[in-house]
Amino acid sequence: MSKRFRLLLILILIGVALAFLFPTIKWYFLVPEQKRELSYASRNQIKLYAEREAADTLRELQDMEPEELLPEEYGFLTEKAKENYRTEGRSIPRMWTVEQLFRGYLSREELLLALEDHFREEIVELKEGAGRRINLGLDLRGGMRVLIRADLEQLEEAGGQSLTAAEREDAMRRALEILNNRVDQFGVREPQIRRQGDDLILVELPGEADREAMNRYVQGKGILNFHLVDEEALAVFIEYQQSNPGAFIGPSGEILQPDILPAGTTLRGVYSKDAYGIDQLRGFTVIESEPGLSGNYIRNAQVNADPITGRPVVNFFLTGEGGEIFYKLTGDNVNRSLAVILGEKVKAQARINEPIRDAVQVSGFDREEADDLALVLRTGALPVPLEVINQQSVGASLGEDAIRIGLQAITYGFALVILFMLIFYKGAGLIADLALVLNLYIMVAVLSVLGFTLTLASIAGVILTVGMAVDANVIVFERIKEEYRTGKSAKAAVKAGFDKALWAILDANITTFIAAVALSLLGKGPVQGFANTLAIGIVSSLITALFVSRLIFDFATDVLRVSRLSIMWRRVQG
Amino acid sequence: MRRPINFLKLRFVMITISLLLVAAGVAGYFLRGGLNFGIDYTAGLVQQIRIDAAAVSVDIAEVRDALSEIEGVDLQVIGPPASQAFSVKVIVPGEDPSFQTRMENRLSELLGEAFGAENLEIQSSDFVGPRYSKELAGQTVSIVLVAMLLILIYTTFRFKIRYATAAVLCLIHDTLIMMGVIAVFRLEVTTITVAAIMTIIGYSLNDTIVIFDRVRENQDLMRDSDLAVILNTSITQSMGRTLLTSLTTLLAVATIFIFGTGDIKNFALSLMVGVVVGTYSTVFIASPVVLGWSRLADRRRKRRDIQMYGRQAASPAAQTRREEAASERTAAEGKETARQEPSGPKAPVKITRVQPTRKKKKKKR
Repeated sequence: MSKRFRLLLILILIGVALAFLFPTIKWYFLVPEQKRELSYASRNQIKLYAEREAADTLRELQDMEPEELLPEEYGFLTEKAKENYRTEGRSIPRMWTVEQLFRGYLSREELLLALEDHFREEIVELKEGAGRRINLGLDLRGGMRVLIRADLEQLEEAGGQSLTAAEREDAMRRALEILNNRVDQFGVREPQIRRQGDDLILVELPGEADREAMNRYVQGKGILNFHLVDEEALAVFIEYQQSNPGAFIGPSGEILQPDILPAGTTLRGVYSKDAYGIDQLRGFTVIESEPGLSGNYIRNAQVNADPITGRPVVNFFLTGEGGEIFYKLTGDNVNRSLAVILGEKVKAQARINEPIRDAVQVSGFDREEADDLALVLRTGALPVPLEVINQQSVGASLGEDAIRIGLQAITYGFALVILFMLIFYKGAGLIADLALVLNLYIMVAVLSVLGFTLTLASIAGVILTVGMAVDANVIVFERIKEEYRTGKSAKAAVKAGFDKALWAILDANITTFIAAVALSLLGKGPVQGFANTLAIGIVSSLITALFVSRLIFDFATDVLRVSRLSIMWRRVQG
Repeated sequence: MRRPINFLKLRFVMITISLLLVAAGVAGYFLRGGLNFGIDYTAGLVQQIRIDAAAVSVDIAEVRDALSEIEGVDLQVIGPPASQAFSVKVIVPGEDPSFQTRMENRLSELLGEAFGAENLEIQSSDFVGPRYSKELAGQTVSIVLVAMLLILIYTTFRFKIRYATAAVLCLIHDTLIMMGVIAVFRLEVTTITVAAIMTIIGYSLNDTIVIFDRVRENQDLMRDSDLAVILNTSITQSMGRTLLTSLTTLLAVATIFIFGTGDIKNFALSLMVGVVVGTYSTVFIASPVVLGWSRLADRRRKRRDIQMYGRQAASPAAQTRREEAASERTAAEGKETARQEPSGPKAPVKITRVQPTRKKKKKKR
């Protein structure tokens, strides 16, 4: 291969690596802290943020002079405006002023919506970009991580027969769906829920750890309940609400408890899903604080069609014990309303027509609402018993310490190795250092594009790889020195050195690579992270040592016509 | 070319030292009551707590007192004592599903009572259930075995079975000594420790292979030399590289050791031990094994040949009389080379054509 072609290949490699790296660079250096935090937030938080930003922006735009040019940062607004101009057959302005922009929108609401969409998209994009950048592990940024096993064996025992692969899949899918549904959308942070392997589910919650909330969440205790509606207290509340509208909603959308309600009753919001699948507050109700029945008694829930009207109905079934409680509850409270409460939200309300035991039918929805309710009801009943098998929580301050320590160790370790090579090998050491820097660069780029999670263990892996990555260079250099001592010319010594060292380097690295791959395939958690770093490091160190270093040497001997190699301190005896 | 250093002369001393080290490790293992398993392998709860140094001043004995009613609690200071950070480890007693929450509450309760709940900060908490830990332990053993097997297959394919065996023996040697150090110093065994051992396996192997590669190359160049001479020459030639790579790796690992705390510090310590042991075993264990095996194989074949064909036919028919004489002459040269590698069909030194013996001259250059 000609040198020009090799140089081209290396430049392409560097370019591709830069593209791989870009999302990581953008995330840590270009995205402001506030937006990074927001991307971890729950959907509801993001929605509130988008609404707030949209309203602020709109106000800002309205305050501007109509003939003022539209600031560059709002350029995204012209797209929709152009479309509207076109449909109305107006000519599209070349320069957009604020006034022209407003004319491009049919109403204030349309503009507000466009702004909201933009801000929401921006954060959602950041959230979804996590798979293409280096993320900090729990031990570096703090937070909580729970590994849950779905006890499929117990399910088999209960059913008295072994499950088929499809049945296991289905049970797992439902368990995941239910966990997702349990996520408190008003929480500050949104947990990441991922399936791992056959029967494991990983739940990660960044930020401060609330162990009790996590346990409640995993066990599902008290998440779904049936409460009786207190009509008298509700009447009091409605009267109060007319004189104080909007006094019950906190800054992040939570419901505040007014003092006027009698003891033993609670104010709750009634919600239904909007177009984005986010719960929207539709009204209020007042319930008795003590639940009438726990959702844990639910065996199953499904949507059926009413045989006469064809309208969707939700049928749900209770366990024997639950049926007895429910029979007493409904018998004592015929004609009162019962609310289905998930977390702190009223998901449905229905009037009790008659005493009901364990098979319950709720009607009066459209198909979508019915599906939603059935899903909510199933939340109470897990298809598989879940067991916490590994739980980790790390305080955010400890994480900050860990990052600092990790960065320090990388910096000093790297600097020491670089310095050592430079002193020991002089000019050739510079080549090795260049290869080393490039090696680290490629490694980080590959880790970035794989959406790697950086933990303290993998930082150790990176440092170790740096220490070992010089090995290939050392093997080559020692060989070149040997050849050079025998009196060969610089060019011949370099060629012989690389040729003779090739197989030693390949054999040595392939075997280490095998060990790393075995570790990566069979290991879990930190071991796997460490092994992946090691494997990637081996490949990139091979590329840099055999390809990049060689090109620089060849360039020096062929183009610069260097005749004396600067590779050792001792004089070469003729 | 540099004069080869006779590393192999020391082989019996070194093997004895190695055996002693391994024996010391095994003794340490039993004297220290087995390995100090982390919760990855024994199931339990580990919490890192910090007691606000500005509010109360405590030492580890006071913390131990506060937690005295919990059975089998393991307490350690983390970082500088002034920062008052401690690690508390409690093992799960058998199968107990409510252990985690119960123990978490109990710990905060006891510590809160003793030092004030507002001064107590739980910096991290880590729980591993019994089933998961069993699974991890099983997995670890299979990882190490599978990795060694794969390495054995690759090296056999690239070299010869005796080289592959020597390399794997080396790895077992390194692993045993590292485990010995871990047992004697009661370093906590976690999944990170496994990563350290695997790294050293890879690292030591790297070293060994580089030397074997040189041996293979030298066997073509020094056809008439004794295997011991070839091995010594190869080790000497690779010495610069062996030491340099060990040094750069040690530099990197030492920084992890200096800056790290807890698990990572232990990891770095095991690695430093491993790098030193790995380098040593490459030089003093791997090559002697190859030499020993080769000599054993030769002796056995010679004996068999003598039995079958008599003394005259001991060498293969393809061999020329010239070489026969050469081999006998070297045998007479001294004890060290008395059992010289003959060029049987299975021997590592293969001789294909007649050429003058130039061994002495070569060495001088």
